[in-house]
Amino acid sequence: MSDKNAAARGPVTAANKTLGEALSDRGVSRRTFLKFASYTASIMALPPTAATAIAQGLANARRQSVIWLSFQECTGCTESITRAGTPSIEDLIFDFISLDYHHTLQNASGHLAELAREQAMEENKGEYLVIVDGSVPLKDDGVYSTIAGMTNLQMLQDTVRNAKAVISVGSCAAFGGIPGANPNPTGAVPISDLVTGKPLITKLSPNQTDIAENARRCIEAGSDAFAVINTLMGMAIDIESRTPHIGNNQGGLSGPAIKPIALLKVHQVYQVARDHGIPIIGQGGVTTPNDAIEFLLAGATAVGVGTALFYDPLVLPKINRGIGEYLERHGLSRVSELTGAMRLNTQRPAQQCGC
Amino acid sequence: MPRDDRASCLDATTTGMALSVTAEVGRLLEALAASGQPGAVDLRSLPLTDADRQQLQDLLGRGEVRADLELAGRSEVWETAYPGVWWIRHLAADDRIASEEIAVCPVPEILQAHPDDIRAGARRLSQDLAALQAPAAPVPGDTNQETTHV
Repeated sequence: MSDKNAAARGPVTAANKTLGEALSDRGVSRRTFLKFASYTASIMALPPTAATAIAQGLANARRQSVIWLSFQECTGCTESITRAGTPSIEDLIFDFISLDYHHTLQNASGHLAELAREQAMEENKGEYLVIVDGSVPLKDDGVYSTIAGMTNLQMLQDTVRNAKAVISVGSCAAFGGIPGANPNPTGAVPISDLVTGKPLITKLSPNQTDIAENARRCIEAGSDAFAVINTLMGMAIDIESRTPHIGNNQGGLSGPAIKPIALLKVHQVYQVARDHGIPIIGQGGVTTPNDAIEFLLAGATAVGVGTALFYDPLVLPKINRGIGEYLERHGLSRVSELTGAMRLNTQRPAQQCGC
Repeated sequence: MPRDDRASCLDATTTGMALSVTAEVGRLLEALAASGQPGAVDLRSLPLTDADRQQLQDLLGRGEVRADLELAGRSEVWETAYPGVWWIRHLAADDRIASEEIAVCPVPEILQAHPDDIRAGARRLSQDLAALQAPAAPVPGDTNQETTHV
C-alpha cells in the first residue's frame, strides 16, 4: 500500500486519496485489506501469491477524475445517467469516480465551480477524463453558448488539452443532434470535429443487424479505429427462485463463449475498414496465443484481452510469446503480416451422395 | 442415499490429495531454500475432504510459532514442523473458513509490519511521548495545584 508518487501528487485531499488511504481513515488496517485480497484471489481462482499484487494495486488506486462539460444540450444525457441502476449515480460518484466538474450535479457554483475544473486539470494532468454532452456552436465566434465568459469552443480546447481521453455522450455531442439540425442556426458541430488530436476509437456492438454498414458510417463520421466487439446481451435464471441471477436482469456476456461471433464481426468490419486503413482492435474471448492469431487473421491489427485476465493476470506475456513463436514457425517477421491474411474457402457445389 | 449422508461419507474419506499437496509444498520449500523464491498453495481451490485436510495437518505437524489475528473476523497462522512452511487460515465473522493457504516463505506477509505503518507508528509514538512529557496546563482557579520552581 506504499505510494511512491505521493510527493509528486502534492497535498492529499479527500478527492485524490488512494483507496488505501481512504480505508485507513475508516479504520481498515493494512492486514485486514490483505486478508480481503486473499479472499478475492481465492474466489477468482488466482494463484495465492496474486493476493499481494491485488492488495498493492487496489491500495494505490485512485478514483478516476472526470470533468463533465455540458454545451448545447437539453440535460437529457445527465437525466439518463442519474437514473442508472448498476451502478447508481451515488455509487458512481462516491466510490468509483471523482466527478470534479458537472454543472447540474456539482455543489460549487460561479467562480468556485470553474476553480474546481482548473484544479482537477492541474492535479490530474494527463490522467483525467473529459465527458462531453451537447454540441459546440461555431457561428458568430461561438456567442450562442458561453460558460463563465468562455465560449464552448474555448472551454473544450482548454479542458481537453491535457485529458487522457474524451468521451462524447449522446447524439448532440456525437453528431450535432437537434442544435445541429438544418438550418443549424448556431453552426453547431459534434465534438469529433473539434478534438482531432486524439484518436477516435469506436467500439462496435455485436447487437446490431449490419455491423459492416455501421462501420462504414462511423468511418465517414471520423472514426480512427474500431474495437470489435462489445459484449452480447444475455441472461441467466435461478430456477429455484425463478428470478434472473443478475440484479439488472440482463447483462453483457463476455469470454470464450463469444469468440466465434467476435471473429465473424471482425472479419465483416475488416471488409469495410481495410480500404480506409482503419485498424481494428479484435476482442471477445481471447485467452490463448491461437485465439489472438485467429483475430489477427480475421482482420485485427491489435488484440484486446479482458476476461482471461481474471483467470490469469499474467496471460499477456504468454500470448505475446505464443504469437512470436507462430511468426517464427511460419517465417514471418512482423505481426502486421498476419492482419487479414485469412484465405476464405472457395465454395464447392454440393456433391450428390448417390443414395 | 440422502444428500447429507453422502456428503459426510465423502468428508470422512481420504483421497490421496494430502500427499500430493505435501509433495508440492516440498517442491516450493526446496525453491525457497535454493533461491529465496516464496510460494503458496491455495487449499480452498483444491477438492480436499475434511479427512484430507486433517491428514495434511498431521503430515505437516506443528512448529514453534502460532499467531492469532483479529482482522474483520479471526485469522490463525502457524508455522508447521517444517520451518518456512506456514498454515494461514482466515475465518469469516461466523467462524467459517473464508480462505486457507499454505505459504512457503520466511515470514507470512500478513504478520509483517509494513514500512509505511512503521513510519506512521514512529510518528505516533513520538507524539504520544511528547504529550506525556509536556507539563500539564494549570486549571484556572485551582488553588490546590502545587507549583515547583527549579
